[in-house]
Amino acid sequence: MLKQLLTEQNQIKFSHLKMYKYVSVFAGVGLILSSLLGTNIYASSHREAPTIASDPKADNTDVYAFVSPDKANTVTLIANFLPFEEPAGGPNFYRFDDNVLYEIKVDNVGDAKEHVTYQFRFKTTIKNKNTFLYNTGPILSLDDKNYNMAQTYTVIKVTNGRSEVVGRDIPVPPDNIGPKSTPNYANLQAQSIKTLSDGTTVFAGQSDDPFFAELGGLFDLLTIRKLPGNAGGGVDGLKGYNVNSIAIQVPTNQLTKNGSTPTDPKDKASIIGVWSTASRHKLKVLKENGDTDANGPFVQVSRLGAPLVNEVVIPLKDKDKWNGSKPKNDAQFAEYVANPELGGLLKSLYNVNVPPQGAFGSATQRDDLIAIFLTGIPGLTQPDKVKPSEELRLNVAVPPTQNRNRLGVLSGDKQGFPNGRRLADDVVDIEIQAVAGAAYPLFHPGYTPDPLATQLGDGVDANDVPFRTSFPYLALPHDGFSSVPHGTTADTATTPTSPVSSNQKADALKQLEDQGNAFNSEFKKNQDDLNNQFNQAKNEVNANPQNSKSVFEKLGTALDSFNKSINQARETFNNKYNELKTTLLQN
Amino acid sequence: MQYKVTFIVLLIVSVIAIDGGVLLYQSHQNTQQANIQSQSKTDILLKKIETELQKNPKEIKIYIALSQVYLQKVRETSDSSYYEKVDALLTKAQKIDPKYADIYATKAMVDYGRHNFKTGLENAQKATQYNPDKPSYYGLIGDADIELGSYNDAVIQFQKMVDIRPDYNSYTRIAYIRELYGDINGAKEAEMTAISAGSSFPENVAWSYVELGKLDARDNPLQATKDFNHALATYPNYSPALEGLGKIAAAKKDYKNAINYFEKAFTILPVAAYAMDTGDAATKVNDTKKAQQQYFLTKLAFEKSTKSGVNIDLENALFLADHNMDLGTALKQAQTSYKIRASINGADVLAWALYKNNRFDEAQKYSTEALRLGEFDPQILFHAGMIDSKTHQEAEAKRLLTKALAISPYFSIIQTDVAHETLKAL
Repeated sequence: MLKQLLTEQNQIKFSHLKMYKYVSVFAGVGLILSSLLGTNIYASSHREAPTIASDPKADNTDVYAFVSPDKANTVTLIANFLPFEEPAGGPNFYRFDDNVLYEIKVDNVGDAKEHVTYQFRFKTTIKNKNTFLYNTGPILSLDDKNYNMAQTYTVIKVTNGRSEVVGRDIPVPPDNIGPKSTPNYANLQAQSIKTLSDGTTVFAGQSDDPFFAELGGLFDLLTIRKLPGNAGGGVDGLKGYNVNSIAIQVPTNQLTKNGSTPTDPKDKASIIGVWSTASRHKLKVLKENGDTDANGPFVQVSRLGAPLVNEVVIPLKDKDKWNGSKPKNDAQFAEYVANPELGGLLKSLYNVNVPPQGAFGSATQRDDLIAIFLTGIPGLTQPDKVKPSEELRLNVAVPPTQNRNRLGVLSGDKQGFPNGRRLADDVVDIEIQAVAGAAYPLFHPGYTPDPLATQLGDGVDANDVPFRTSFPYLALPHDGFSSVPHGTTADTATTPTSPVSSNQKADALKQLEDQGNAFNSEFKKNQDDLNNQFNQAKNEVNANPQNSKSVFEKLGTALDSFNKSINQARETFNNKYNELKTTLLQN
Repeated sequence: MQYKVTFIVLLIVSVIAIDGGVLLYQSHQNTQQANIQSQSKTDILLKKIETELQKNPKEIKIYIALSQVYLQKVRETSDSSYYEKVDALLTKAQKIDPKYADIYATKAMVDYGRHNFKTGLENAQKATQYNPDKPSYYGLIGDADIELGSYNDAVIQFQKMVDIRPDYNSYTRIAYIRELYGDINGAKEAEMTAISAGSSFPENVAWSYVELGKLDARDNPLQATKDFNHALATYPNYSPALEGLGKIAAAKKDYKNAINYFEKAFTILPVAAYAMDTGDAATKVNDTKKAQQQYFLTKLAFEKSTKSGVNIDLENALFLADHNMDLGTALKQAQTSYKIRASINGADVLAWALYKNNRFDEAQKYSTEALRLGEFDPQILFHAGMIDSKTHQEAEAKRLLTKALAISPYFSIIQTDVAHETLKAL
């Protein structure tokens, strides 16, 4: 049967079972008391709205821009959203937000303004309004009636302020739920890839998150597990996660400022700057007659060009400001690039002799980093009379190479980051090395960087799954059925699977049952005791209401000790389970 | 064989899971089905950040991040002992950088959790002083404004918030203030926009479905049932959604089912309100013994809240007044609470406590104050009508009671009948 349904049924069964046991074993007031453990009681009549909710559906995770390896006269642009999608994401799974304006912007002049913009607006249609299941059966095609929460989108191209709808009702494939719900996923995805009236090919939907990085270390004060970082040993924090991608493949001449397809990298029309944004409707807090929220003006809430700028360059306190800002106003952030915090960190943590760095505009400003992040590299990605701004700059005339190097320009592979960004470019290593001074000699001939500078890295050098060779190049999303949820059971996932005999299994089960029974009797004993104390307390309070405070206090102590015993017993049980689970969970 | 193994393991788990501690165990079960309990997302995050803090005891960001995940845990478990952990973390953070805005914003959140809205407001204002670009700080100021009765300022703060960054956090606040100003459809619209925007915490989205459900429950129980079920699908066993379903059952006079829902909600999250709901539903079926037991439990829950540093004067005053218990204490608590929370709810509860103490003229003064945003809240209208019925303004009493019932025929489990009876007698 359908996995989704199965899971739900099991949940229902499970909770019935739970309630049943609950009532039969712990009838009476003690039952309720058992959940009054510790101090976890809390009353609230006021409305506590969440404050720290982050905004994954409008969260740009990565932007890619590269000359298509199999179609050199086109450029592929990819913007990813919705970070850390657990493949088993039911029951709602992951959708783009119908209320968000997603955009990929291209500056082909170097004046920090968008000249070609692709806008994406999504629309969800629920086929069967009586259920909120994502699918009501296997999805065999994109128009399958079982694809209950189908999403479609419109593409609008804005060229120098002139808008034109270039695609309508383009289907988003469903999330990769599993072999029962979405058999032949590759085929479903292929059906969703469309070529528009202007020759642009588009795809929007779930994919494997192509970013790879030692996230744990990166955000843990730049911990490098295996110094200096160029010999592997890192843990890919994105492994097994999906994202929602928007990918377009555009004939190059539609992106350049003069409509040409430059073949000489020195051609002034060959450099474009790319970034993506997400915007949400601003509402009027108190509506006036006739106002519709969906007509409120858009406010940009997320922006991304070069990788990790938001994480590595912009300090936390300025994040919202940054996300709402436009490239033309980037001078306000130049200080963070010219005098990066990360430089100091590399020096203090790993004693890397980083190049001198000082305030923006000063003699010691990091002009190498300003080039990488703000102006482009002279002779490669720097437009004429460039206005410094944070864009992912790409020279579209540098042809695709067969000899790709994950370290891109730093290694001499001029088709890679920071000349645009390919899926396999190891941007973490490149940026760490750049901050450590690996590119500094380009701007200061005669300077010798610390030897460590070209060796630093996070120890994760490639994506967990291979990329594909044609559009959209991204790997297919991990399916929910065979994926292991992150964080909870890493040990199970890595447990070596030596065969277990049925006798061993039965024995383990018996042991676990015995431990479970021991827990039950311990619980029962403590619970009877607590019930007695509770009844006693009730009588006392009824007889002498003025003493209720001290009675409550006494009862609180009893509850605490009950809690302690039960926790102990539970821990013993859990330990037993952990000890046996390898045997138990094996087929 | 496979099925049998699972079944037996489940049986044992079901016993263990009673005190809510074996989520880990459940998730092992679910692993086999490749399903993850959304609740554990917060736990995974918590564990990660706790480890990070151990490694970097001087990194202020980690103190804040950990504090905020603890606060999310309070939302999910109602365990207010986390507040003390947050206090300790923030004290340490303050030593690292006393001008770090997030410290004060987080302090404000803890203050709100403890119902110390004035201190919370000061902390939220301090946060905007140190960093005026952060939208959530304006949201926090607005939250306190609402509890303290400064509604116009709340509107201004929320507008600032949404102007800087429209997202889940701002949409859901807009929904609430629209409701307070009587724009119920606008409130629903904003809440649906919030749901569409979503959050990284599934609990938040479930919470918004419940808020939407409460709005729908005023006059459309069928739609409200869908909303509450949607909340449960988003976040399994979400107690506010179970309470919502219980109230719908009670509205249909299916008290047996209502009690089931309320009790289940209470076992998941031991909040005083659920015990009170159970007691109310038991009262309706004349199960006095159960009702008394549940009201006793309610008192115990309030008592424990007070002990853990949460000010529940307002909530307790309403509970006592509603159930004709200890009316002197009810009035005293309503008065102290009104002094620190002069919101329409503060005024309403004070009016009701005065009414129950037969001080009708004073009651009327506060009930007028409680209606200052307009005649939108059925509970406030009901109290106002009851008070007017005792101050020789029978026509007005009739009008207000009729209006309360017209807005929501199901606004309270035990008071709707009182409203009907009073109307009949007028």
